[in-house]
Amino acid sequence: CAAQHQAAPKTDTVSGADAQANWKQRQADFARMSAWRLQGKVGVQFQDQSASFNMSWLQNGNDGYEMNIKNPLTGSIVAYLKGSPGEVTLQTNGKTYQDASAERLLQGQLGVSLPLDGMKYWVRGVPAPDSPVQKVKLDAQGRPEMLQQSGWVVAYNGWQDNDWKALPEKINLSRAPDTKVKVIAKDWQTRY
Amino acid sequence: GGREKLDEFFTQVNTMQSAFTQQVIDDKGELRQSSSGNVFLSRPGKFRWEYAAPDKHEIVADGKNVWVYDVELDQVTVKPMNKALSAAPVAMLLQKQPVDKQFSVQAMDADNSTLEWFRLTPKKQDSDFTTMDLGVGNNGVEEMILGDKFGQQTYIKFQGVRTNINIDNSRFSFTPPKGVDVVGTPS
Repeated sequence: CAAQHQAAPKTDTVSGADAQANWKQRQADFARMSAWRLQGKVGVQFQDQSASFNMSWLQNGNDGYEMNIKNPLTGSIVAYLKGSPGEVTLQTNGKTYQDASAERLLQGQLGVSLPLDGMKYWVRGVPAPDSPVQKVKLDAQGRPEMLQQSGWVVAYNGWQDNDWKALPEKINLSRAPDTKVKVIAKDWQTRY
Repeated sequence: GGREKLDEFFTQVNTMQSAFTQQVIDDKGELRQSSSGNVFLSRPGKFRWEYAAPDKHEIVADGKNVWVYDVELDQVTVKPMNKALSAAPVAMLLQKQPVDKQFSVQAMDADNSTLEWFRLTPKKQDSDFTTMDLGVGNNGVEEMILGDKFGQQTYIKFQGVRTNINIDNSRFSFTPPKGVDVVGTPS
């Protein structure tokens, strides 16, 4: 996968105060991101069911996104999701479905629960702006090690590279009692 | 000829080991993914189908359950055998019985191939694969094309097929590595 994450942070690790400053700056910078694309693999576990798929997620600011969900063993497209404010279309198994909520569509048609509204922010290592953050734990560089929001615990286990603005490489999300989502980001592209 | 070799494959082959390459072509004829790995088969009911590329996956049928280990995600899914018949292309080859007992067999004319081809349609439809074309050469089954109800084709080429050799039984058992999430309950 992408550049291996160096184990030890760089020598000029920031002190606590800077960690907070970096954390604030990160959120401000990322809020101005106009578009981004994540390509990686997602594993979902819910009670004794699990699914894993390759995902390509193209997000255009807050207004639209497109997502390709593929079978990792065959590369065949399992589902295509296209979202704009208030309306989401899901194509799967040759049929098209529409709803206001992508999460409801994925759960209903594919039995997969993905907190996409929150993930739109969490996968980049920032909290969702529109709901309170119950808890956050920062590393020395001001990147989140863990954050808790809207019932989900989001743990960051690896970064694309070793500076405070790095994007995540390995993310584990969990929601009590029995839902787990693992995201491995293999390629990030961002635009401001 | 080819038909004798086909019958032999289904009635004389107890174990098989081979490298494979796989290409998946979608219903519009577009290449979806190329992958490769190794397969180990022990009839009846056991196989190991390992993808080495593009991602490492281990699919092991131990006779009772099928374990699917996604190495990258540290995630293992286990299902009883009868619920995982489409887990890997080799799952259609698990029984050591005359081919006609399991499939209806049709010889195909494939003049642009050095192999003799047969189309096998399962008598019992319990897997996503609706047809299985087998290309038979001097080493027995050398190529396989699986078709599913979405019109997708999975092309498998076996390289270095060895049959009826001694394969260590550990190949056909699976113990989840430490720290890996195991989902599902083995029967």
